[in-house]
Amino acid sequence: MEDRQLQTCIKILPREMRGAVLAYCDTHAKQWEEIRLRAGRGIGLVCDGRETELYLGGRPVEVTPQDLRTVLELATGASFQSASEQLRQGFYTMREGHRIGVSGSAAVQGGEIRAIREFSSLTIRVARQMDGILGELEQGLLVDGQFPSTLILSPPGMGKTTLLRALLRSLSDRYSLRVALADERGEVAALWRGVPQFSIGERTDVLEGCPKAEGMLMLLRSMNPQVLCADEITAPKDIEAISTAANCGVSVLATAHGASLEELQRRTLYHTLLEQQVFQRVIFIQRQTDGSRQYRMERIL
Amino acid sequence: MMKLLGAVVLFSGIAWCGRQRALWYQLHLNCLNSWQRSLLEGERRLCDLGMQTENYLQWMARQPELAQAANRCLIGLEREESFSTTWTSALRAAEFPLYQEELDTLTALGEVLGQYEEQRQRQSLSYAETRLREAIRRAEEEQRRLGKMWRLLGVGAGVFAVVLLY
Repeated sequence: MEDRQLQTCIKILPREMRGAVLAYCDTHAKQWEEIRLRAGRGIGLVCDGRETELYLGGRPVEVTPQDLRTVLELATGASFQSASEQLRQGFYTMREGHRIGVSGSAAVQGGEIRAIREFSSLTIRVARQMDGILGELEQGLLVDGQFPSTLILSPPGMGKTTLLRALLRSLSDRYSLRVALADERGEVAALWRGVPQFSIGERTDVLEGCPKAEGMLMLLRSMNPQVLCADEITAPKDIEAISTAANCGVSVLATAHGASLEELQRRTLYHTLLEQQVFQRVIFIQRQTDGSRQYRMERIL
Repeated sequence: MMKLLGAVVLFSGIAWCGRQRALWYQLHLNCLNSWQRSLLEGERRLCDLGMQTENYLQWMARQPELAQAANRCLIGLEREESFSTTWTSALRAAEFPLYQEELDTLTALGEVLGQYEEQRQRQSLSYAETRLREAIRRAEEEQRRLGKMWRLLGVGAGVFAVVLLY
């Protein structure tokens, strides 16, 4: 099998299942996106948003609760205790940036989730690095040697995070800027034992797992960035942190959900953001008919 | 002359057997103490500090009595084998000077270590550590009573054999 990323994900499956999944993927050579395991039910493979159930000898491959625990054991290197913080939030990022979504019975205490006890299903999302996607966008990133604060805007599932990574790489490696990334959910850099599993640039410093607003302020104080980056602005505190950064002369790169600037204006949170004129540019992402993405940069100030 | 030599050899041999048996009690106690320290360290590294299991095993590998088992577990982790299977086979292969009950206490940890959240691991480590503390108390008593007894028995049996045969 040539799909190295998929192979890494298959290696954490229980031995008895690996053969069946490998054989199926070899026969149906696609860019598989997810492997889904459900206790008491079967294994599903997802490609292009469609799920295919795996059969062995005419019957679905059965998954037991112990199988789910085995997957997590292998993924964490038998170190649940160091993965518990992520697992409490319903996910675990393993090496190479593959992310395992977890669901089951939550143990709650004082209104907070302490642990997920009985796992009922896992989704292994195969991470794939996308290189060379910026195209002409890369030429115009800096203006007079400076990076104007930029917002990436698109509806969900269009690849904002993928574009964000590409921009971070370019700013850091091509333009040698000091970049600091507040990666609250660990989706951009996917740190594994402190090492980013995605290429996000040689000069990019990452703070993962910290609430975005606090993370941005910490990075601003401690890492002396030229560009401060955050994925998905969703809260008033995020806006405050971004304003503080802008007032300190630091450029900001961030993403937000939305189809257009007009839509963003209609939402109170973003209305405030746009009024403060922090961002000088917006990058829109559009899906082409062939499934590829087109990027359009527009100056708004 | 040959008779004297034979007597000395016979006496030494039997006395050595008695001494070896007495030594076993010392080794047994040392092993229990090493394991008890290891379990306390495990609680600190895995549960208090949330470190990787690999980190704990690397510490264990620096303890002379536990090195063989720890290294076997590290190899198992590298090969992505089931930790509980690796742990069990590592304990068996190391041939620790322990009673079966004590070995069972340690083997049971393999079902929990690194595979559950820290609270559950802490409970298991704490329970195993309590069992080992009781075993250490018994072993100290054993070593005091039986260690001396075996040494004397060895010497006595040696003398008796010499007298009987010569």
